[in-house]
Amino acid sequence: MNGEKLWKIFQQQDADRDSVDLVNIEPRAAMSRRTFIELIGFSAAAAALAGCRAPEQKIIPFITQPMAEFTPGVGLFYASTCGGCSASCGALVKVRDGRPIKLEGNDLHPLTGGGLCAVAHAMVFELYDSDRLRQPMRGSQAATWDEVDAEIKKQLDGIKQNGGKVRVLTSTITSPTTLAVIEKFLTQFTDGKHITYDAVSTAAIRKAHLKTHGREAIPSYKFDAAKLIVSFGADFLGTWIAPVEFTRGYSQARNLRDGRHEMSRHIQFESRLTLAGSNADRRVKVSPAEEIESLLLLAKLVAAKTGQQAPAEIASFNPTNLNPRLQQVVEQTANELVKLKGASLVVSGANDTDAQVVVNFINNALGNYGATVDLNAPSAQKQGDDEAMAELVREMNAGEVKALIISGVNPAYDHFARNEFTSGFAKVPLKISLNPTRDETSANADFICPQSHFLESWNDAEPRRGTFSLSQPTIAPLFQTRAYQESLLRWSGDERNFYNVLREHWKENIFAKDANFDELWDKSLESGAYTIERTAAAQPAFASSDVGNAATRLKTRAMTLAGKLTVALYEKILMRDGAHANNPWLQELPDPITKITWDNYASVSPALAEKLQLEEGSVVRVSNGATTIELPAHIQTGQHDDVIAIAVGYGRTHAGKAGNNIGANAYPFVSFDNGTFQYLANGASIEKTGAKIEFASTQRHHTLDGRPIIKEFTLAEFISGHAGEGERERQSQSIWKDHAYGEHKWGMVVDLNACTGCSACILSCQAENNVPVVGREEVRRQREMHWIRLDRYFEGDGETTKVVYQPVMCAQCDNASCESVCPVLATVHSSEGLNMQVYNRCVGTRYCANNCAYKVRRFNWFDYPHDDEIANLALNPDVTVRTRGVMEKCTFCVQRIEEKKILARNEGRAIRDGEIQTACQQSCPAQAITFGDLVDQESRANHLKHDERDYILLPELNLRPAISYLAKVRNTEEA
Amino acid sequence: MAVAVKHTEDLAHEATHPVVSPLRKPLIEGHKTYGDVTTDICNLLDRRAGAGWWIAFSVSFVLMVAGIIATAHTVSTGIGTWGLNKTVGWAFDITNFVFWIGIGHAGTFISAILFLFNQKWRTSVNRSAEAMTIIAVMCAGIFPVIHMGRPWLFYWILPYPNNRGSLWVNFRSPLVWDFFAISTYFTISLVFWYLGLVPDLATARDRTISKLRRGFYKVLSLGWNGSNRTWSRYETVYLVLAALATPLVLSVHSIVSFDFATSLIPGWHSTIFPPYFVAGAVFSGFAMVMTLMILVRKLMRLEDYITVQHLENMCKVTLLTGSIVSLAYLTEVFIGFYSGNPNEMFVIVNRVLGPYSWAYWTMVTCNAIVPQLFWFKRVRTSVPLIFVLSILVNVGMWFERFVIIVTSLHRDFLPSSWAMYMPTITEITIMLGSFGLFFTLFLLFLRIFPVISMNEVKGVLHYARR
Repeated sequence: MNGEKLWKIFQQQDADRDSVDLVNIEPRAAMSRRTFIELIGFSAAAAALAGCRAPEQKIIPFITQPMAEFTPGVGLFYASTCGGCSASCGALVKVRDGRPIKLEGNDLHPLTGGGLCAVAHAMVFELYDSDRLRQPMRGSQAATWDEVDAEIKKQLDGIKQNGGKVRVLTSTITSPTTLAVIEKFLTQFTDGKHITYDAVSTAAIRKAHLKTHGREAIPSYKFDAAKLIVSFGADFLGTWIAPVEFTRGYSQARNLRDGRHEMSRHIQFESRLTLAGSNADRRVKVSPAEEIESLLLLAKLVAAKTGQQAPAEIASFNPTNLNPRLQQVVEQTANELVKLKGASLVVSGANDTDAQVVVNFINNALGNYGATVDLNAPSAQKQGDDEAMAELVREMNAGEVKALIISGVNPAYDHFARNEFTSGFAKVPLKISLNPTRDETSANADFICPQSHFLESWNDAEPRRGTFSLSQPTIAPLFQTRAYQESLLRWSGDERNFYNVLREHWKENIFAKDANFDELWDKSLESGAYTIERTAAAQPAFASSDVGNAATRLKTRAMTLAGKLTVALYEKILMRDGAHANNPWLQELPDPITKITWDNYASVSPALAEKLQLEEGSVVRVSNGATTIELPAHIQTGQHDDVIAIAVGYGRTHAGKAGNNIGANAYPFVSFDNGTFQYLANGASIEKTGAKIEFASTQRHHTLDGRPIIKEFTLAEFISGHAGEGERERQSQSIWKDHAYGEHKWGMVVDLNACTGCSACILSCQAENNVPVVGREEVRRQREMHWIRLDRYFEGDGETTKVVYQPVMCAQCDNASCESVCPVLATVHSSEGLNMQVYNRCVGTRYCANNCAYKVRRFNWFDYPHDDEIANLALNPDVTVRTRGVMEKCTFCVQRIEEKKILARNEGRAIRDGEIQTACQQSCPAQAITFGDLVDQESRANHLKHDERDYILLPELNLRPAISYLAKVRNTEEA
Repeated sequence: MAVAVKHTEDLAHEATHPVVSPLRKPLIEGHKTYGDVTTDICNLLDRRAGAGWWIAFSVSFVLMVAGIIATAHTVSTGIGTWGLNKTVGWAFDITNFVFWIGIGHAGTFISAILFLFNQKWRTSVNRSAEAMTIIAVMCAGIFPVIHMGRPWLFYWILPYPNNRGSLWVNFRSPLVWDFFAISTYFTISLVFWYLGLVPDLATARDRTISKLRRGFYKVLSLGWNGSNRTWSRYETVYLVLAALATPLVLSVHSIVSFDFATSLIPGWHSTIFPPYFVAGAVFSGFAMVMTLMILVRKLMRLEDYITVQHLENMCKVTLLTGSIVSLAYLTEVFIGFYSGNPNEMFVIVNRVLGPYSWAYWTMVTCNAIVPQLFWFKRVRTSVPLIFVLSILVNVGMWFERFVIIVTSLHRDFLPSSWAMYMPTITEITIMLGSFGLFFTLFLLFLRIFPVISMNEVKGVLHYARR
């Protein structure tokens, strides 16, 4: 190390109290990677060391880590809020040597607990995305902030004097302070308006509640309190509103560990196979028309059975498209719901106000408001107003809008009528984009004022009323970017920085007036969350006046949909609306249902595929009206024959080097109808083009073929004790002596009943362990590198598709078949039961991988690129980056084990159970993974190993793996 | 006129050495005298190579160079240039390795076991067969090295004293056993072959007209003087070496089979593998010897020395070992079902009917069905037919290894990881390159060393004659 050089930089920095001018340095050209990292490390180290840079912005690490104890090489955790989507989950940011390197779940957060989703884990990569803009832009010219601010202010002043419409178009903002900043900015103008636009909108729920309860709000849904969940196509475990929070609640209500014998029941009516549907106890495959009629029939039956007054349109409803079997299913569902009045929950994923009105009617009839649906603590997680967006497009085209400022939205890509949007956009005299990249919309803006990444900025969030969290910057901005709030403040003539605005807002509006502000602020910053306890209030009254009309319209809609081929648009849990398309971690994360990476596709049912003579990967042309796109077909069991399911979020043209031209853009299929965006396009046609591609899929065989890999029981079987039957583990018959374990023997239990397949573990592992991305071609060759994979098996025929998920990673076997075959002892057993891979000893014979029964070993076929010096900053310094030709695999996060062992030793104590958490375990929203010391008889892992559902994979091989699984239980009996 | 003279000589030879055995036929045809043998074989070395040799050599050399380029590409870029994936970690590489090791076995079988059993007909073919063994082991030895992710560290599988905290190899790993087995095999084969060459090298030294060659043979013949004492010691050592080499015929391929047999993969984990592999090795080796001998007798005009009778004998060995291999195939299928192990059953069904069934049925056709034609004497004595069938047997034996390796790996315990394997151009080129290397070296051997063991042939010249 070049100590002298470091010291100089540090002194310099200390002297002029400014961060080293990182942004003007072209890292590739001007400096070596090492110097760059040193600079990054020291600029942030300085920030942490009593704030050499910006003393007034104190950021506070999680729990108790006094500032003076900043130690290079030791990770610090800062509580923050994930900015990956509008769900605003609580997160901890792990900062190593001044670099944020990982997001983890914050278990002090009241909504999400310790959970995070896959997208959140990928956000670190986005911070170090070298495709981000590095300075403000005037058109396509680089500019400085002073220049840009001066020009924008001048033009805005012109509008102030002459009048004219100023519009701020943003995605959902859960931050109360930011909303105040926007409001303040807009008050300067005679006609200023803030419009919220979500590419994938749930505006219908808000509109429906305005109609039925007089409140335009999305209620909070309590999946933990619901004993029966009936979902009509809502993928609440995958993408709907706040999936992490819902998964957490859902799995809590279905937890069968620790002697519990009760679990909630989940019935899903849906036309395509969603993540939520794949977890349902009863999944009813329906066409879109049948889904509507089932909902109406359910409303009728529930009203009748609860004695609720129902409008005539519902009371007299007679389904025309429901076959007797479906009618019977709906009847059974109604019976079950009525039995669990006040402890059930009906949700619908349709962005159709009428459907949501009927859902509200059912929930109201069941007395679920106040129990499982709460309008007094509404969610702010989806605020998109589809009507306002439509109005904006009209105004722009009419030339009425004088200035448009966009932030976090990309309508030139994801608006259904993007041509209309762009033509209107072109007519706006002042177009300012606050997006971080030169995306489809920003490319046509007059100014791009790139916002800092959320890991570089201050912010707050109120995802649900009364539940607040804070974001703190964990690194100085890498580039010349600025928080978008700060841009708006400048243009409002407010020279304060956003940090001060934030504190003042909290002082004025959030904390109680008499509270000790600094103490409360520090505490909130430290824990990441602040909750205002509200006294219970009655739910707003239900008004049934609109239900009848809604039912009538729904009936018509069902008639138009019936028997027609429908394009159903959806978000993939990894790609979501496409904003993060340039993130290779997300692109390479296999979809939990299809297991396909790096593509979107037209999912068709096996019957439809047979009819059209499609094979997996046959390219089809899907048309609806003027919209035609070509996509490869994917044959999806469990999907209804009337539906072609296509994921949005693909087909980006200005995403960046990883995300451009991956898949095709399906947003043009969206329509605007009845005040909301419709994600079903009926009357579609599909034809085969004759071309064929091969998917980059990580799993090619989808059934168990009778192999006892997954153990599954019905709840009744479980209660009557069948889960404990059958072979558990054989007695050792080895000629070798057993391993003698001293202090520790690490082990893991994975609860298959909790795992929903959300795939967050895969990306958590990828971020923690520097797992390389290999690209589409290599995944096609089946060489993906993920250390933990999520096996997904389909069971049953096409009518009743059952899905099971099984996370599989290295099982750290006692009788490890890999260890005995390695000629050079590159994989050996540790004294703590770990199967260790010694990278620098490995010569790469691949014998170990061949002989691994679980096939969890991954080989470095090539030198995977590490030439993007900015992206390399996301690497975890605790984990070696592997070279070509060596084998790698899950290590049980040995670096985390060692970290805690050192900590415990320094503190002179034993390691506490649960103190060590593997990366996959840490942020599992369903808490499906338990890790611990099996020598410790009292450990949680040991305790679960004695659960009656505990079983090991492939027991006949006598490998004695350290991972066991808890059998899946389905609540299939009618309650 | 010359024909007439030759005919007269033959008549004279027939008169002095009439065929006296009612059962046996002479091993060497053409009424050779001792002098004829020396002249015939030694003249091959001094004569310019014919067009046939040059064509064969050019083709082999080009293939070898292509193989070297493909290997260099692999080593410089990574194993990713091959078609392997997360599930199938070995395919062409280890198939080629086992194939070449197997080829080598016939040489040792002929030179050591047939020697101990006093099979006199071996004398015409043992020299070339042994050379084939050595070259085949060289070809085989390349693959375990280049299949490594980091081949420059291949020496780490050797147990040598080192300063890495005295880091030893894993003696439980069959790959380490492989290393010992193959290096021992190579050493013994080389010494055995070289020792057998010494008297003939001395003859060549004494006869050659080229100074360069004389110097070369002089060094290699170690001062051989042909004295009685030298001969006596020579034969003792030769016998001892034959006895030492004999167990290697059984052990080497048994150990190679342990790579598979000691693993837990269904289709590999099988106790039948050692005898099955040894029989298969001898089977493929004899087929390769037949292919080569037919080429050699044609190319070098040695029809009098390598007679149809030799080929017929080798056909019989091929028939026997082929039948053992067929029995092993049937046993595998039987045990697959008899075991009651669903994984074993699946492997059998997947081999026979799965996506690689074409490879399985190629194997069965070439290894189990085709050799049965050798029951017919007309087939055993038809040189063109033997040539075609011997090549088919080697195609089948290559596929046998491919089937064992790939069909077992590609679908093992967890269906989620099942995968397909297809070779890349790089892999195919490396395989062809190994054939190029094999034939290049063999053709050079034909030009440099006495192809037929003169001293031993002279000993059987009067076989079945007075």
